[in-house]
This record gives sequence, structure tokens and C-alpha cells, in this order.
Amino acid sequence: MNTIISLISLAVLFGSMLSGFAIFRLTGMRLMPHFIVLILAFVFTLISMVISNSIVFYISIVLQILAPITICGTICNILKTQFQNSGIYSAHLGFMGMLLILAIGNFLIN
Amino acid sequence: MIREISVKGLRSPELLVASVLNKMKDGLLVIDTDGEHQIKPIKDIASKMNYKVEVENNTVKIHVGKIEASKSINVVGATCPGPIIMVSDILEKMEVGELLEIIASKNALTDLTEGLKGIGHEILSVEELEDGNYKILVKKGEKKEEGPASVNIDEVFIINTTGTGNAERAYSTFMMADIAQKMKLKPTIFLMLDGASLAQKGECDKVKHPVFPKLSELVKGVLNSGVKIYVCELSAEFRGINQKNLEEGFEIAGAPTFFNYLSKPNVRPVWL
Repeated sequence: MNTIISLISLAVLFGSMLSGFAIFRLTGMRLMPHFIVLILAFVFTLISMVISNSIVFYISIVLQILAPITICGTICNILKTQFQNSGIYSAHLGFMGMLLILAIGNFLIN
Repeated sequence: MIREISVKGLRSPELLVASVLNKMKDGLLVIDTDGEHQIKPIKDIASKMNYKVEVENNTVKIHVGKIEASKSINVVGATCPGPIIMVSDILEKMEVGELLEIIASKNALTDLTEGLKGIGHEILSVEELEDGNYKILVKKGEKKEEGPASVNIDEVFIINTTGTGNAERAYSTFMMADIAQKMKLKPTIFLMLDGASLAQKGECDKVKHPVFPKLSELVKGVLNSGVKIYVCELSAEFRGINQKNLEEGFEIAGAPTFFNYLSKPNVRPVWL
């Protein structure tokens, strides 16, 4: 079950990296901490699926939870002041919401 | 009472001005001059007599006591486009040449002065009151019918509608203003819709592309060179931006200012 959830998380993370890159370019290379956490979460999730190590697994869960949190401040301000363009961010926001629930679920089921 | 005289061609215009001022008890003296060499002695004589002087292009206005307006209106608290509509309705019913006194807040100041000038009225004076509001004195005028004529484009009106969410357009807005100045074109920036986000205090500080300087540095440079940056009042309100969190140097304006610029024949709009 954990492997299936991790696989879905991995897919969501990869989708987030692609949608996030578009935003990263659009906003003039802002949100660097968020994208670093996102890439690390992808790498650790991938490793946790290949090797059976609980430390790597928990690190991947922590990074999956951190990724949506690191975007909060900026995205809240963007949604407050630049809502005409909020459609551009919606795909990435959707992925972040899914990732958070998947990470918590994966942790609780384990 | 408003008296209008012309001192064009006179060697010592201050003599005529002093003579007229001595006879005036109140009102406004509007003097049409040839230029700076006539304006300076006129300003000196008016200052000696303790009168307030305003200079606009080659016209000198000397305030002699209080000017009685035919009507007055208070538009404090009204947001764009309320003030200009309320004032236009009153002016519509007045005769050409009659005076209207308007009490307005800072938010509506630019809209009223720019908008009313654009419609053909004359702004006689703008005075800041103790409560932070403004008293504007307007003389009703007539819109001149202008025939087609060739005009030199010497101003650009740069309109940003995307804000910091689109860094490239945000950078372009201020870079274009800088380039326009170097090309002897007078730039004016208008921020509307998401573009209003650029006016929020500290927002431009957050934008830094690796190749370019911080956006806030570009903004400062443009402001220091005298470029006007207006922020649409409606867009600002939608985004919770007001005088308290407005970036220094930015001015809140509205639809009348926007349309006044767009209707000028020497202005070319640039949409970003």
C-alpha cells in the first residue's frame, strides 16, 4: 500500500516540478527554496521506493509536507494581489494540495 | 473675481502687475507672459506684497485674498469614478466662467485636476487643508473643437496590467520608461488590474532576476528621474492597497487620469 502511495506521490511531484518550472520562469526565478524542497522530495521519494530504509522514507515524507508549506507565503500574496493571473498557478496549487494529503496518508498508514 | 492680463512684449511687466494688484482687494490675477525673463520679476513683486504665486508654463497666477466660488461640493470619501461624475454633473449645470469649489481627498486629487483639465475646465488653485483633504478651485470652461492636425508624439503612456507575477513585464515597464527618457520621450506609468500589485510597499523588493538588478532599484531610478507612476484606485482597492501600504512615490489615480492621457494626441500608449 505504501509503495502505491509513494508512486502516486512521485507522479504528483514530477507533475509539480513541470508546472512549477513554468511559474518559476514567469515570476522571474522566485520561490527558490520551494523548488529546492520539491526536487529533494522527488529524489528522496524515488530512493525510498528503491531501497527499503525507514530513515529515507521519513525524510521523503517530511520533504513532501514541507514542499506545500514553503509556497504558502508567496502564493497567498499572489492570490491576494494578482488574482487575474491565478489560473496560471492553479495546476501547481492542485498538485501541492494532493501532495500534502498523500504524505500525511502515507505516514499514517505506515 | 478673476482678472486676466497679458504682459507679453513688456520690458518691465512688474510695474503693470503691481499697479493692478494695488487696485485688487480679492480674487485671482492671471498673467500671460513671454517666459522666464518676465515671470521672475512678477514673482518677486508678488512675493514682496505677500501674495501666493503659482506658475504654470508661461502663465502666472497671483492669489489676492479669498476667491468666492459660485458653488461648492464635497467629494471626500467617494471612490473612482464617483468624484469626477459628481463634479461633472454640477459643472454641467453651471455657466462658462463660473467658479466651483471642490473639497476632495488625496485619492481623488489627480483624477479631478487631470480629468477636469482634459474636459476643458481650468484649475485655478489647489490648496491642502489642515485635515489632509484638498480644496480645488475650478473655472468652468468649454471643450475646444480641434480639427485634424499633425502632432509629434513626445510622450508614452506605459500601462502594466500583470504585476510582479509576470517578472518580465514588470521589468519591461520600468526599463521602457528609462529608455523613453533617453529618447527624449516623456514617460508616464499607469498600473492597473494585477499591475497594481507593483505599488504595494516592498513588493518590488522581492523581484530579482539573476541577470537584472532588483526591480525596486529600477523603480527608484525611474522615480528619481521624475517619472509619474499612477495606480488605478479601483484595482488598488480590490487588492487591499491604500495610502498606508502604498510604495513611496506612487500616486493613486483613476479612470479620468487614465482617459485623459489616452485622449492626448501627443501620447502613445504601450500596453504590458
